[in-house]
Amino acid sequence: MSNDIAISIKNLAKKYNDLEAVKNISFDIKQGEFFGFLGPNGAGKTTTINAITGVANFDSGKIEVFSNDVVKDYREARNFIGLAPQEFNFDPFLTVLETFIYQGGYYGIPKKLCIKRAKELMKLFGIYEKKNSNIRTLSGGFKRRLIIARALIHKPKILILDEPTAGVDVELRHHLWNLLKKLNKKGTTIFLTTHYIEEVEKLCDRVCILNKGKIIEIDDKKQLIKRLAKSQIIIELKDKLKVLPENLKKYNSKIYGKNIIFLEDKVKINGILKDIEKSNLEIADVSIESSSLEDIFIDMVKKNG
Amino acid sequence: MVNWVGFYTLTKREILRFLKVWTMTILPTWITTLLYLIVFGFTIGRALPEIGNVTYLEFIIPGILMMGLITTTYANNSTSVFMFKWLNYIEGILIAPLSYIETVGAFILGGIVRGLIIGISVYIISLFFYSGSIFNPLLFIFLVISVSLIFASLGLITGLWAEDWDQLNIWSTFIITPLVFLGGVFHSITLVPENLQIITKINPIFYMIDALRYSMLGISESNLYIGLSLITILAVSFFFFTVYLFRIGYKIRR
Repeated sequence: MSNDIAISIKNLAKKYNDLEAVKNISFDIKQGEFFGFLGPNGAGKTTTINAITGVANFDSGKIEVFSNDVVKDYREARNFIGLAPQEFNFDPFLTVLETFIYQGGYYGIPKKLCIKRAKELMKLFGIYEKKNSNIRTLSGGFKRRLIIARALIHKPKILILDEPTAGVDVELRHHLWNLLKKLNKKGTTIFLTTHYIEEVEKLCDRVCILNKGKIIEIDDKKQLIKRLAKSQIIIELKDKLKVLPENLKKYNSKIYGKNIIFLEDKVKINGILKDIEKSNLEIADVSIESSSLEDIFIDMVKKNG
Repeated sequence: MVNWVGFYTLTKREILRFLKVWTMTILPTWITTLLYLIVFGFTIGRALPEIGNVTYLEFIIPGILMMGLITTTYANNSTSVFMFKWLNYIEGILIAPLSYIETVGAFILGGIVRGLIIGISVYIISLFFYSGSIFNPLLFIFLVISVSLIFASLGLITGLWAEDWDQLNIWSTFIITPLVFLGGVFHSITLVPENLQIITKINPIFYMIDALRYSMLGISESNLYIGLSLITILAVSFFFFTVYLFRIGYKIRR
C-alpha cells in the first residue's frame, strides 16, 4: 500500500444483531486530507469510526492505518489516531488537567510532557482557565473543546472527529473550524463526520456520502458538486407569457407568470438568450441558481432511501 | 515494546481511585475485622477449646484476613471496570496503544495493591490479639498476592459481564460470600459432620484459607500441595481468561 494512504478500508462490514450497520464499504483517506463523512442518522458513520479506532469489533473486512492492521498491529495503528467522539466519555471524577494527564499517559507520554502539551492545548482551545475544574462542572461547549483538545495530546497524525460541532453555538463552531483548518494545514489528516453540510463545504477536500451502511458517493468535493449539482436558468420577462414560443420548446422549461425557468445546465445560457431574442421577447432579469452540496445530499439520500 | 508509561498510568489511576475514597474502600474492612475478632475471637472464642494447639482467636485470624482480602479485591476490580463501562470512559483505554496484558495487568495490580494494604493492615490489627508470628513469610506473601490476583481477575470478569448494579452484586452475594463463610473462616473442618466435609473439600476458598493459616500458624487441615497447585492454576487461568475477554472486547467493544 502506498505510504501516502493514512486510512485504508476494504470491504468493511458490521452487523448489530439483524441490522447491517455497515455493508461492505471500501475507501482510502490520503495523508494530509480533510475528509468528510456525510450521512443521515443511522448511516453507519460512527460504526465505521468505531471500527477504525478499536471502540467496536467488525465482522469482516480489513482496516489499515499507515499500513498497520487495526486488529493485528492495533498498538501501532492506535498511536497514529486521535479520536474525539460524539458522546462525551470523560471520567467525571477528574479535573480538566487530569483528563489530559491520564489520556496522554495511556499513549505512553510521561506526566511532565503531558502537562506541557496540555497547557498548550488548553490555551489553544480556550479552556486554560478551567484546568483545575472538575469535568462535571463544565458546560457543553467547554466539554466539546476539551474532547477535541484531549484527542491531540499525543500529537496524532490522524484526527478523527465524530460530529465535533454538534450542539455548539455559532461562534464556537467557527472557532473550532479555524482550529481544524490550521491543524490540517500543518499536516494532520482529518476525518470528519457531520450532519452540517456547511461544515463539509467549508472544510473538506473530499466527501463520502453514506446511507444505510452503503457508500452512495465518494469524490473530491468540488468535483462532486460539479458533477451532481443541478442548475436552473431563470428568465424574467417584461410581460406575462401564455404560450412558449416554438423555438424554445427544445429546452426543458416551465412558465411561471412572467418567469420562464429552464432546467438546463448553465452552459446553455447563450443559446437560450439568443432564442429568446429571436422570439421578440423582452427580458427584465436573468439569474442562474445552482444546487448546493446540501441539495445534492438530500437528493442522493432520497434516491437511495 | 511494553508501554510502561501507559501501564504505570492505569495502575496509578486504579490505586488512587480507592485511596481517594479510603473511608469507603479500606476503613470498613478494618472495622469488620475488629468486630469479628472482638465478638467471635475475644468473647465467644474464650469458651471454645483449642484447635490444633492454637487458641480459637488465633485460629480465626488467617480466615478473617483471607475474607477481607477476597471480598475487597473482588469488589475493587468489579466496581472499577463496571464504572469504566457504565460511564463509558473505558473508550479512553480501548483507543489507546495499551496491550491487553498491560490493561488487565494494570487493573489487577491495582487490586493486588489494595489486597496487600488490606492484608498488611488486618495483620497489624490482629497484633492486638495474638503474638504476630508468621510461620512462613514467603508463603504468606505468595498467598496474599496470588489470592488477590484470582479475585481481582474474577472481579474484572464480573464487571465486564454485569450490565447493571444488581448483576454486579449477584455473584458476591450468592457465590463468593457463602463460599468464604463455608471455607472455614470461623470453623475447623473437623467440626463439620463427616458426610458433609466433601462440600468443604470441593470449595477452593477452603484451600486458600487453610494455606494462609499454615503460613501464619503452621497448622493445616488440607493437603498443601493440592491447595497451592489449585491456587496457582486458578491465578494463571483467571488472569489469561480476563486478558482473552479484553482481547475479544467482551461487552466493552460495540
